[in-house]
Amino acid sequence: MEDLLSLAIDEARKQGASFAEARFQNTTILFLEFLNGKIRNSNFNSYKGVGIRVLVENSFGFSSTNILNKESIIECVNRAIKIAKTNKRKSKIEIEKTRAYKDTIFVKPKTTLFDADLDEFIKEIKELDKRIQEIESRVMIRVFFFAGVNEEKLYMNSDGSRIEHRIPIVNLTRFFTVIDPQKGVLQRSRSEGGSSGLEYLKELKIEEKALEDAKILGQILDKGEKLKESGYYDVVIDGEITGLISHESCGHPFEADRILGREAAQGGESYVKLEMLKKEKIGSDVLTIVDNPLIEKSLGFYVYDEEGVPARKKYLIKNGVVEELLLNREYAAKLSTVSNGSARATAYFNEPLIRMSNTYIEPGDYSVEELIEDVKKGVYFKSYMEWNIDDRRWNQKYGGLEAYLIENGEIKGFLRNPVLEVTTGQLYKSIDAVGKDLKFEAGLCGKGEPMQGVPVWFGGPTIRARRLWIK
Amino acid sequence: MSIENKIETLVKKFQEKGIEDAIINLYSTNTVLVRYANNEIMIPIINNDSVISICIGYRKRRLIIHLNDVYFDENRIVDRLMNMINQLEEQEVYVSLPKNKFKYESILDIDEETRKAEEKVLDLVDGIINESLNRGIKRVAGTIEIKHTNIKSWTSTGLFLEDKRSSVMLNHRCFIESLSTGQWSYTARSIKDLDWKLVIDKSSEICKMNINHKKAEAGKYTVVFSPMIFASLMEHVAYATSAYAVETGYSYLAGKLGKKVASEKLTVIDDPLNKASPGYARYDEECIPTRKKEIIKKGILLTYLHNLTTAKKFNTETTGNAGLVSPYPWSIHVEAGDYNEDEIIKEVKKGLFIVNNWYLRFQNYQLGDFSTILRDGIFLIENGEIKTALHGARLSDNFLNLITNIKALTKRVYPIKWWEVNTPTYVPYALVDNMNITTAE
Repeated sequence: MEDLLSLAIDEARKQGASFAEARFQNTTILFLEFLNGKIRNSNFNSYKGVGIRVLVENSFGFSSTNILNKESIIECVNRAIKIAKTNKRKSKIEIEKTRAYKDTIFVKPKTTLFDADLDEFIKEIKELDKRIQEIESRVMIRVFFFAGVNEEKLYMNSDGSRIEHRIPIVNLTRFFTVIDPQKGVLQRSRSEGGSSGLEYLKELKIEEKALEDAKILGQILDKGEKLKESGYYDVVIDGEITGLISHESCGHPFEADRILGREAAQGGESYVKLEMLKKEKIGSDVLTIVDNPLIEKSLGFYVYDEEGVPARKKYLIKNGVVEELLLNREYAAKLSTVSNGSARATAYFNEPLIRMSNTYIEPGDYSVEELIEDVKKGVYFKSYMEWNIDDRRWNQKYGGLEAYLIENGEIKGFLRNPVLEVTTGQLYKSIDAVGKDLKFEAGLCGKGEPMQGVPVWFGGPTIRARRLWIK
Repeated sequence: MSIENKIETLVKKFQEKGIEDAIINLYSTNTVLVRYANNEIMIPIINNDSVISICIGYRKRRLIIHLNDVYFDENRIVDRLMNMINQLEEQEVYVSLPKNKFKYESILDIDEETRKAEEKVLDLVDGIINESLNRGIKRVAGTIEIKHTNIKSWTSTGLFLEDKRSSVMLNHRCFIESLSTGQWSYTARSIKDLDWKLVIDKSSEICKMNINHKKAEAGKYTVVFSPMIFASLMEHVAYATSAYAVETGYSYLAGKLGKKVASEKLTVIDDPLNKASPGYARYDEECIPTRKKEIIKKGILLTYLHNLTTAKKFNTETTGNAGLVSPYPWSIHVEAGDYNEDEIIKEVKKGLFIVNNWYLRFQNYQLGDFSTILRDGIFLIENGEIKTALHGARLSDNFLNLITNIKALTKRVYPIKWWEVNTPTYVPYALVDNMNITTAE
């Protein structure tokens, strides 16, 4: 494969490309879907191909093929060069110059997808399904989606970089519907996974968490009450939701391409402006949010990005101040700085874009009990179903699922579907304490056109925010 | 050996191993996609790809495979898949491929202009940008995608079928300032039918109105939805009729077959045989002929969408909507009403005109509770006239409430497809009562 990628880069340079990169990707995915303890769908996918991006005169050009021979690769280069040259773009695209890297990153799981004992895994899910029904018979619809992925990538560019990644992924999503003819319907969806083999699902204690979900859903149905009065409450928010908050209202708006309008037609723009960098305080002193691809076993794990730049931990917000943006080589050049290794692509046929990896609020030193004991009148959000945020990442909503009323420092009864609808500014400035219980959630982050989903973790500890409007 | 010959060999080898049912679809797709922003083309992309989809059934077990390696080794594939399928359990419901002789609609050719789009597409995009700037717009961003696919299909029952599918999509967003935006999209089967001038007219007109904003106030409103947001909402309604959504808890229409679920004004049709639609398809993923069907007729839910397996589970016939795993609509059409577009606004004494949305998420699929962010134009209507532009609003409501409260539809339908609307969806403007709008305090 290396020969074909070298050929592509040489051919592109011969035809006038000032920069060329070629990415080979070979991805195999096993999906199993279980409905009420039976396998509903078994699906195996295998995709491989090469994507070639060239920079010619003022324009990028991109082309891809799944036919992996010399003729097809040359044809692919020709298409990318031709369409780039046809572009009458006036302003010049530049990319930040970086040194060449050569490296190989293998994550070797204990059990690869094809050595795994699927029979045993299938039995475990069926057994779990039975135990869920024993704990809460009203969980009438139980769906589990398993995805096991093996991914090999070879990246080469005209700077001389050659980087190979082999990373496996496992992910298990559960979706429960609890139905009680008198008390109503509740639903819960949750994903967990990481860059590892099948054995990792045990480390994540998914069985324990799924059983706890079933039990709690039943209790919410039986005991949950609507919030009696909308109003200002102090709010304690679990890491399941603070992770989503860090991803949606910090990670996305800190993508430099979004700030500078490249995603304006789809994902939108940002409340962050370049002049805010290192100056503007948008959160309280206790709020620090980072993006870090170097967490082993995480879903957002990578060591070099898809432009051959080494990955590193980035502080996006530090003690409330806008600290650093997510950059690729193009946007680093626009800002006269260096890339921080944030370019990712879902598949060989996708252009690399500025993306998050593992985004989270850095933990503080409070226990959850300490966060709650200082609340006179509050709401404790532990989990959610519905959420959304506007395309400048300012106006957001979280529909609580497991949630409790807090009175005089004590957790009282279950609340049914309380809603936090708030702006990023209100939320970030109202945080007065951060817990030490950092945890991560699995997600698939969407961006670009065609939509590219990349695996990420988003995380955070429990936090406390003062005086937010709860409905 | 050609890929076609390899696939024919594969079918024979599967049969020699005792495979009872096999469907193999070969998709060869060319995609030209141009992304533009800040009044310039950001990147043109050309992708050529072939994907082979294999579905095999063996002793009531079923396995689906997708691969794009055109040099696959037939013996290796057969051995690996037999090994995998033997590890699986029997399906709760297993359906063999029917041996009926079906009649299929004719193949529609793809015109040369669409097939050779890469030659002229950049000029078209430059034209769209320049025309928008000539209308007083400061900044535009968008995407044009032109895709055509040749499909060849083989089954273990001896069928060999072909189809040609094509799709053109333009999504265009105008800016005067950060909050002053207007957006419209269009979709067609052929590039010559792409009405890009309409897209510029609509998006620039909305953008110019969308200035001097006030913060929206929460409350119940009568709302006129533009086709952009109404397409997103109606696509969700159509997907809620997929039998997959019904059986897995993702549908608020579960248990409501034959019942009145919506206003009499609402008729939703899935029409894969509409020759102008990019959803045109003469057969589904199980090689069953597709057909036009009313899903909701005058508010009554007439059918769910089925493939062979879900149809057997629901004790009915397939609707030609496979989806090997999940049935899906091909081309969604909401029947037009009898209002002109200015008349429908005049109907509203106090309400909102909402252009577009994104991020629709459910609190509860089974109940239909959802919310979605409103964007690209939210306007207060007073005494039948569009007045102040608003910002910061969200539609937080319930799908059954929404479709029950449709009061009027306009005469003209618009073909919509973009980021938030994956299936070509043809919808009019819609007047809906009693919609719950929420805001951050």
